[in-house]
Amino acid sequence: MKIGKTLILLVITGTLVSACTSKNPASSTTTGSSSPGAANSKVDQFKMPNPIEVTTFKGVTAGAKLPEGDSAENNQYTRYIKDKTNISFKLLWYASGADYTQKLNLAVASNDIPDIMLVDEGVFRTLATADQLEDLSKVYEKYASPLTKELYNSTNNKAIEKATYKGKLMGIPNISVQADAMSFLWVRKDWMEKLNLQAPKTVDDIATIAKAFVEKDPDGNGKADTIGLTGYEKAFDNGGKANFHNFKGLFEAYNAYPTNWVKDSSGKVVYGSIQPETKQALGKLREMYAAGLIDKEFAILKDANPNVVSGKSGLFFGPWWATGIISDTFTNNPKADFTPYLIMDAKGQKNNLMVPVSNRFIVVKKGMKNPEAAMIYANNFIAAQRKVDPDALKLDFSIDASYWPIGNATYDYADAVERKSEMLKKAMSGATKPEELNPEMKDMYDKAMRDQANPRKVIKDWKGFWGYTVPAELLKQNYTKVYSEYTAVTKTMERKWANLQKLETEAFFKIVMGNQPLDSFDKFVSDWKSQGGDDITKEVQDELKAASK
Amino acid sequence: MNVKSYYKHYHLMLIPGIILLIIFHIIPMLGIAIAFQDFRIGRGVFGSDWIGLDNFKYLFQIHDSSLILYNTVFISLCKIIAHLIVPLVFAVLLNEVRFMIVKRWVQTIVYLPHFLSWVILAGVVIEMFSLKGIINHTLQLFGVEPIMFLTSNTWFPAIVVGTDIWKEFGFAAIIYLAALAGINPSLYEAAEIDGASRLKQIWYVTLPNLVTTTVLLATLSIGNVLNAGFDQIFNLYNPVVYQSGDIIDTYVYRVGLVQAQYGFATAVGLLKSIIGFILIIISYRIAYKFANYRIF
Repeated sequence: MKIGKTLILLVITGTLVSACTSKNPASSTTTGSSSPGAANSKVDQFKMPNPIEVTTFKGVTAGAKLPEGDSAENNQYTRYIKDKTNISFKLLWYASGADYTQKLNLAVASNDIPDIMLVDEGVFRTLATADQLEDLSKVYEKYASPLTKELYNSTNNKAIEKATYKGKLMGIPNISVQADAMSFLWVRKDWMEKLNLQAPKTVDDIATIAKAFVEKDPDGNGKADTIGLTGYEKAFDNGGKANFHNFKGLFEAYNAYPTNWVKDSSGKVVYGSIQPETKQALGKLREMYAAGLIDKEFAILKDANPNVVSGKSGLFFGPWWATGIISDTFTNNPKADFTPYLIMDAKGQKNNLMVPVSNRFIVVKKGMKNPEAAMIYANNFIAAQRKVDPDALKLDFSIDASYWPIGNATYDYADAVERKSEMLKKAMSGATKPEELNPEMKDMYDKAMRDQANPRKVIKDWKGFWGYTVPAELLKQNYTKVYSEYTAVTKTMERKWANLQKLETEAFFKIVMGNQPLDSFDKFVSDWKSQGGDDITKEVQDELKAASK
Repeated sequence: MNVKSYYKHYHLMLIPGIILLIIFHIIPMLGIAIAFQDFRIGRGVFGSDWIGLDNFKYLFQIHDSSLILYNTVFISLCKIIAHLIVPLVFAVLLNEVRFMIVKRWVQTIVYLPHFLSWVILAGVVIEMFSLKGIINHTLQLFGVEPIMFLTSNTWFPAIVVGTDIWKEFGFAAIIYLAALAGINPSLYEAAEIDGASRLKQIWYVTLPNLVTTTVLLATLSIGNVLNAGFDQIFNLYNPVVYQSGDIIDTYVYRVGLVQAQYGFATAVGLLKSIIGFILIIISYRIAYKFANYRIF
């Protein structure tokens, strides 16, 4: 009883005390690079002169498999990095999903951060404001490899700007591939053919297909055990990145961008969740849910992948790289086949809420002796990910990338998917010779050719290139780009955001699941406004105005 | 003189325990300071601005604070009452079982769930109460339409209380079993000679002997009235049942840790501790008065 009573209080106070005590010893060193006298041109950008050990922690994909004997701390990726860079990473802890965020937040709150780690934008800002990070400006100048710099140039320097705080480069930003924003509707093609259904274009078509999938026994087992569109407990969270099983693609078809600050038709920045477009979209979702076309239990589902993989559902929203979950479905049922579609709005136009250029940052703890290790790691990680290092081709990339020493983030050209898709197409049609391709493309080309000879014989081959064909082609059409205008936290938000979020998720779930009438949305909007939302909107607009001056 | 030196080594033996208590319980309490601050992690306890009672005031300005308080007290009162009755009945029934082997087996099996964490059990509970789960399956046999238990505001508190009892009653029964073992057998012998049946024996011998224990447990659990069980509810709830399941602790978790409002979270924790402390003192007095129970 005594312990349970104020668990949170104790945890916080406990970590606080350690924060006070552990701060002092490390604070005096600000040495920067450790190799005095080394000329700019002479430094090895890919290897530390002497072996060093660096602490870290990371988020790992839940349930990602590793070969027998390997661990999150010791696997092919960590061995590769150690071999290439002389850096061995000591993994203090690792966790998945929300547990990771929670542990990370506690570690940050207690200033108990490792030498090098990969964090999201919120944590990055917190750490930078709190002066807990090492300035990497000089390290970047000296150690960033030509390829690394080229990738940053593909963003028009926007990525570097994002990682700069008060004129200092406080982190090594990742570069998000813009294609990751697009939310595709993935449909079981074999079921569509069996039931004689048209390709979906509008939200109404989704409902038609879902209805057929639910009622007409597409898997032919004689039981009414198929469900329509998938969803899960976070289905209303709509970030820039397309997620699996959320409703981003459907909201966009109504020009609705819940949970984001977007420009309205008059050019003012407003909160997407309270716009009439969102109400329309919720109305449609409500209608579909009532008709049994959306998974009845999506509100309590932590992960909807099993529904797809087990062949219960043939309809889900997901990103262009959904090949992993699709290939798992193949393995269970060789007849299963998925095709992606884009869902248009009433005017026949595709809207797409884009991803920020960078949303992950490699950061170095203030006072760390070898901050250049972060840049050296990044250079090698990028070289391996882009497969310009021939040794990297020996790695088995079907092993989940979160097993890289500090976890996974995308470092690529902003338009990488379209770029590679073009290269692959040209190579396959014979317009470019395979020998002229870079190692990454060559590898992809080989996989594509092997798969063409023996379709889906080796799933790994199929997974390695297919995303760059059909889904990537869809990306090349015209679509309206919508941007999230504000991602930081205002003063009033700090206090009131949790409450507003509660209002929002509660209202959304209850409306869609039929616990409340659709018109209770209006009450939600007025509550949201009166309980601090109006103040926050004003703050956001003022801040943006001040920033644009 | 003699008495004093006799006590000395006991005090020495206390020292390690007291040192641990100071390091892990007393010193961290200094962190309570942040309940009165606009706490910023980068600036620490010494650099953050003092804002007096603002954090506490805000707690009562939150739109939902009365609902959250109601949920907390409602769920925990239900739990307290059920936790008194169910283990008591179970212990009395188990005491009547004649076969030692059955008794031991039953006791071991029912207190097993106590040792599992809610993170694991929540998965089991969610599976059991899902549309295709065993509960709905059974209901269907009787012609009842499947019910979505975990997204129903009517059912959610009942499930929370019910599963908590299921997890803990076996363990709680141990205290009662101990009390039962302490009843003088000659009382039963006398009752038997007077011609009392088993039921009468329970009514006139067993239960009166358990009154002290029951009153004691009841009063002591009053201090727990603001703890509705964070880890259980956090693992079971979803936005649809915020209305009936959002308690102080889950709310503080979302504000305090997810939104990084450590000052506010500490203030709520502190307030809970103070109320809990007052209730414990009151219940201790009551326990002394009615059950003649004293620690000091």
